[in-house]
Amino acid sequence: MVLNTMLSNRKICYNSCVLNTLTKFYIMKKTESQNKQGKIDEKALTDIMNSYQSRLFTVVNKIVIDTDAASDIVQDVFITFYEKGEQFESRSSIYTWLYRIATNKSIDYIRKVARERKNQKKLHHLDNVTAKSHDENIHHKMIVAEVLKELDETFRVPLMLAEYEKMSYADIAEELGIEVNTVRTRIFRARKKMLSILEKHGVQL
Amino acid sequence: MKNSNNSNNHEYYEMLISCQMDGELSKEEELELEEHLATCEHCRALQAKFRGLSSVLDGSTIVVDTEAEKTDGSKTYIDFHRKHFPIMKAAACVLIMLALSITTFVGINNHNRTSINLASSSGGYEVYEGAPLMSDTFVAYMDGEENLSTDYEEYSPLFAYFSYIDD
Repeated sequence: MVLNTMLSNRKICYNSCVLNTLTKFYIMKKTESQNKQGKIDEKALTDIMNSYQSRLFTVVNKIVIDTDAASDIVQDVFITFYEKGEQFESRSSIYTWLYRIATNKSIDYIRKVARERKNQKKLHHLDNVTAKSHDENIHHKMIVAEVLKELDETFRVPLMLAEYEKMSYADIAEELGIEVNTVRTRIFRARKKMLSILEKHGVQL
Repeated sequence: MKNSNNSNNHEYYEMLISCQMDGELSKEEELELEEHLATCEHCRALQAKFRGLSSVLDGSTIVVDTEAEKTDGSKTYIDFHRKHFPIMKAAACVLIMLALSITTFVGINNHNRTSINLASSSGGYEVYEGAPLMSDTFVAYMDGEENLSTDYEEYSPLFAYFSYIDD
């Protein structure tokens, strides 16, 4: 009961190992009751978690550049997935969905950190070196988050799979259930679009 | 992938550059692209931009504010010039807002003075919005008159009172 409340309230502040176990336990426990209604398959759910957990972690960690936060975000993604999991028809749509939610949660996290940082700066006068080092990372993260946010999901997911996971076009095509030529075009368009978004934000590469 | 019809098209080579970034080119395509890059400055610039983008995404290049101090010597930095809201645009916005508020203010005043024609069974009379509530006596008086002036001032309670006394 306590566990359910903690997780459903998203008050996640535990270390990743404990959290991983907690999430699995929470999902398994709820799956048992769901199974009676024939809504969700426990084995499939475990399979999905095992398949995508480390991959999602890699992507999220690249965006937030913080292993603890990345771990928390991934756990949160799976809890959200569990709650809406029964709506998915195919594996490719699950994959796209997980990526979308993971990216959005990462972006939200960065924005939240930036906001907190701003407030912190107002309240406490941090020493110059610490402040500048933090600002440097925050600026970078914010720019990357904004660029990813502005990019349409159709283009963002293939690009992230290629850039962050170094997947081949054939594998991406298989995962997303689209043609290899489509993958090639979408990644190319995504890069062009990202360049224009970066320029719009004042970043000249 | 090879497309002889598009061989002179920049977009075809731009696509090849994107594929090259992900290691998806065949040997023939690599050679074809290298040949083109040797002669095309536009595509060379794009290749550099795609590489820069990739390094920003994986965090090996850090985007920082122009005025920020670069603290880590092992990293590459790209300056980010924060775009400020142009002064001329701000001035134009203020002028538009001012014009709108003046128009609205004048509009409200005119609206208060505009009459609303209320059709009555006895042929209709005009009531001015914003005017004080009229007594039954005053309404009866107005119904009896044919050529009433439409000037709001004339329908003031004082005017009504004097007209009533005159009768």
